[in-house]
Amino acid sequence: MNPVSRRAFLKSSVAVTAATTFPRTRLSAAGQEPDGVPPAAPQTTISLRVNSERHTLEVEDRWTLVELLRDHLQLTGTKVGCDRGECGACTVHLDGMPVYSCSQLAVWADGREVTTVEGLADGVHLDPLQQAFIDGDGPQCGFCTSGQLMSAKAVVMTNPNPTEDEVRQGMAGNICRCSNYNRYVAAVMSRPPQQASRLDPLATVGVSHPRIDARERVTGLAQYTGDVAVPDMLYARVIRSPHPHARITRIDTTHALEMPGVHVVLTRQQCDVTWSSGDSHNPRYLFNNPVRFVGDPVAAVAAIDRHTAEAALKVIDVDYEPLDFVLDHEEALLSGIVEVQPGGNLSPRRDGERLPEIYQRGDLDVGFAASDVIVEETYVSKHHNNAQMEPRSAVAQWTGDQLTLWSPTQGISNTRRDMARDLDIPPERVRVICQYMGGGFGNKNQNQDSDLIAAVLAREAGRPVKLELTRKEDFLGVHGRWPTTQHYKIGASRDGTLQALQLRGYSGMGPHRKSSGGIAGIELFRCPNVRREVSPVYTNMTVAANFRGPAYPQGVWGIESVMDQLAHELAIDPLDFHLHNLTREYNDETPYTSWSLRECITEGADRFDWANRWRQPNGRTDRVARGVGMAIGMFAARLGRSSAVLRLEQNHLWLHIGVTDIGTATKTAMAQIAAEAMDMNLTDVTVVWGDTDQCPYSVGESGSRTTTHTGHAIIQAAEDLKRQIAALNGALGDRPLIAQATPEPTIEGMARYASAAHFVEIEVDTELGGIAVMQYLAMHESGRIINPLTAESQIKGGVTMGIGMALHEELVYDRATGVPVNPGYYGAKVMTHLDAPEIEVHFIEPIDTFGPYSAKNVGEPPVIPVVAAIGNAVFNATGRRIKELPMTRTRVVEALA
Amino acid sequence: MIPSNFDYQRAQSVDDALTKLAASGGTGKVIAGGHSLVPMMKLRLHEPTTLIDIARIGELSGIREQDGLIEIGANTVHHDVATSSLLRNNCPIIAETAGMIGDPQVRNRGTLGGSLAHADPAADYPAALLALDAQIQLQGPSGTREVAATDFFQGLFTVDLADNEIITAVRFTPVQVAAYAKLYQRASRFAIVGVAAALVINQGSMLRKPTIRSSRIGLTGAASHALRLTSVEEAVAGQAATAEAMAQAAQGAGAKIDDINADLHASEAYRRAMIQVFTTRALQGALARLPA
Repeated sequence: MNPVSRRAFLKSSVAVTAATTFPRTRLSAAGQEPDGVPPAAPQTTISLRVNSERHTLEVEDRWTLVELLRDHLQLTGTKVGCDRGECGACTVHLDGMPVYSCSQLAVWADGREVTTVEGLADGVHLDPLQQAFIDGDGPQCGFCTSGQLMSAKAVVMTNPNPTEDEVRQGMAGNICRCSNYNRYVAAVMSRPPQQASRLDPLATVGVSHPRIDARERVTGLAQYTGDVAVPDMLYARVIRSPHPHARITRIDTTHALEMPGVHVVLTRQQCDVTWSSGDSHNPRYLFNNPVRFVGDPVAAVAAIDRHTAEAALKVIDVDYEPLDFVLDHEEALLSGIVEVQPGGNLSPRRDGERLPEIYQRGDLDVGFAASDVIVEETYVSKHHNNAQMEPRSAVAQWTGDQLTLWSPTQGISNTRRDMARDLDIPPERVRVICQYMGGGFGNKNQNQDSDLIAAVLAREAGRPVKLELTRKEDFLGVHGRWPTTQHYKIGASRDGTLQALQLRGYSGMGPHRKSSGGIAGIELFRCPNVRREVSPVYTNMTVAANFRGPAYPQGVWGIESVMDQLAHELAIDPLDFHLHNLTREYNDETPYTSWSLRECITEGADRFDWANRWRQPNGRTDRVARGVGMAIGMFAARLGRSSAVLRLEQNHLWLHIGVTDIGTATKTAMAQIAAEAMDMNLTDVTVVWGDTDQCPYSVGESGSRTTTHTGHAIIQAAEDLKRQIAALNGALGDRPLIAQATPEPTIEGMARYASAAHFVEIEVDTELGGIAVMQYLAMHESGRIINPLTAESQIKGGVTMGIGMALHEELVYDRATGVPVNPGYYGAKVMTHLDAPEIEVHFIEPIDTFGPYSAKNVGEPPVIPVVAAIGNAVFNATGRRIKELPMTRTRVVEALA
Repeated sequence: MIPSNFDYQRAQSVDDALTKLAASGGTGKVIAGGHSLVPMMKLRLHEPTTLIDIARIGELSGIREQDGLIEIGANTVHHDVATSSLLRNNCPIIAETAGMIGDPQVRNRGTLGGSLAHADPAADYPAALLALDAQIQLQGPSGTREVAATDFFQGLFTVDLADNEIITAVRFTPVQVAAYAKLYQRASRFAIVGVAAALVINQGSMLRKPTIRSSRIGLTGAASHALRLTSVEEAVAGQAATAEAMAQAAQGAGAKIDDINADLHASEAYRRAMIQVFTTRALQGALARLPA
């Protein structure tokens, strides 16, 4: 959309507001009050005790208990992650027993005692479990933590000395998408974490330290976007397309607009705002026609409360003319197939050419001619949802022409930039606040359509608007890991040397191109003749984009499976095969700033005792087959531009940084770096974060680069501050000092990567097809580890997430209708306490002078080798490869048949 | 994810609940734990205008033994069934089954009666009740009636329960030599295939090894509703009371049923294979409960 029409929209918004205001200011047919108050719902008077405090109040019969707690008693420590009794974030105690407060009616609590996370602490004295969660690094993003605590509390109330299995069973109903299950269980078991930095720790850097905001995360005080309430706030809901591809022929909003309490109804007719970060290639409006996937927004409503907004959705009539649709990314490129976007289904390259992304070096023909063994195989990965615990939400408030937006974003600066661009207002008119957010794993890097919808509704209504997506909407309307089909042809000579490596891959992006759609991994290997051809394709599946380690987990699974197969056909131990063919330079031409992949493999293999545990697969037919597997991964430790402002007043340091801490303990690590750089105690550092009005620029928490870019900025600002102090010759006194820095470090001509080698032992139940992880060892090099405690949590979580991708997580589509059939935690089968094995983590810590205190990156690498390691272990155990994800029980049984 | 409007009424007794139900003119729904109904109301799959809460009717709760029969009130939550020492000692299969339902939050609020009325094809209780030959007690405007579990489960979310009736209790003769085995959906822990087996044993003697006199085997999760595996019941009869004989009798258990679910959790072929596996496990689990 061009800027002119964006401006036109805003100019016309006054008229639109008037039009939408009219129906609510006149008497409705049913004769309700003219002030827009909806008819009263049936109510009941109840008395209950909440955290020992007695309340007698009128509740609407339809309120759930969590609605009463959060919306009406302002006890927002209890979270809503799914609102359908699946995720456990809403767990509270009802008469001492843990229950899902989203599945209880508030009236049931009459005469009963409710305990929420806010009731665990005795004044300032934390419950021992809360302290154990802090010390043991239980909360990452923290959104599930209240629920985890309430379930854990119930376990120890009835059984003070539970076994680990009893703890897992007791917490089975509480999902943690950061997948910090090991930490939660260890905390309940009072098993202290043990991390040691391999490098000699500095004063603060390299020392394990609980998160500086852990107390807020375990007491329910941490404020997430959904917890924000501002006066006169309206509630929004969105209608989404039930069709994978359809033209909207009519939308009738008359009945909704006549409904008392409804303030605004937006459709494409009134709103032609584009969501520019939602598609880098084609215009993507907030409301699109045609709709191109199940979940595409069609209309939005803002009303006086949730119930009225929901009721209004039900009376908006939408007529759809269904169009042909295509789900499969290879089929989408066949001739005669419906065009998802004008111009064809192959998404164009950056230069506008409709051609695959191609990388090549050497000559494949020469390579295959030199090969004694050639493996040709195809691997198919699926759409895998980020499924972060906090669904998309936004609170938008306009003060005059100034927008304040609370949003669970991974980058406040990006979001401000995007909002200003999409609403065509200057960036200084946008303030973005994100104090705490419940995870994203790459799907909240820019502004979200939910942010824009809330902002436009609020502007139209002249009142603040809160929009909280449902879990189903978050699964459908947002994005997950792109599905791929990977055709490999790889040749090696008899001595085990790679000669030729060919990948022809296809990535299903859904109807919008948000991210690269790449298939990464072949660069892990040294090979003279390489060709990689990847086609990002438009389909009518839900949009795919970044998810932890984008392009890698699926690509590394493919390439590492083929490498394992090659090693097998050459009768070489895969460990030796890896060491022989390992990358030494990125794409065999660019040197690494530091490179520890070989050491990760050899030390990991020693720790795992690979030499004594790996055996050639023998096709044994035991009911339970054991096998081991390994795989490697690397992920760019990119640099980036970010600022830091240091403010020293009365011997206390305020660190202003534009990060949001998405669960990675960024705030803590940055405070450690500041304390180290200033030679101060960590307790003398306060971090100011997550508010564009108070924080300088940050490129955002994506690409595993926050520690590097913000760390550099802090160190550089600290150098300045120390110079200022020195210049005062000891006469600092009460004089406040400020220093800032925005470095842009470069690594001209070099590549900077973190490395990992994973080793796993599994058991395959050949009767049931079940795969059980028996031992998992993750060997990582991420430069110097700033905070070993929280870094290890990252690795454990990333690996656990990868296990889910390998074994059971998938957004499944009904091929006949194009409708996803399992949007939600239960359906998509994300990992639970019962699925999560213990993950053993070790770090190699080289000196990498390009990182702040030698640090690289931690967040994305751990998920990368997991699927491949497990797949290779399945082959080792059974002699069969599962070439389509996830490796479900059904697929395993079929493969073994 | 927000239910439509309804009027909440709390029933003080079964008669009161029936009166309120009748007064709702067919638009009312009975609610106890709500773990099936509330999610369905949020999805607007059910939009009752009156919700009659029976959770506080004392006579519907509790586990009793009388005249050799065990009775579990319809309001009894899964947690209480799972942890009942009466059941654990006298009829362990039912406690075992309840303990395998969902997660603690579900077991703390979900009720036996609610589970039976909802009749999710993947619910656990129906298999156990079929194996126990349980009688389901219903009460309606014209009095009480009793329906055998075998007749109660009729189809997908369909049971022999009229709109104006409520389930009051379940009654059965306790069985020691019975077990439940299930393959569960890993996130929800609903049964993909669940098999409950109860055995009647001909005691052995110096000259004769013990044999199976008869059995009842209930299957859930695999078809539109829970059903008896009669072909396996016949195959088991007269067999030696050994693990091998049980495995033998379960051969082909999954092949003999017409209508097997295929869904995103498991294909039809996989379910058929698992019926045999879990029938074997349930039979062997039951045998393992034979007093030494």
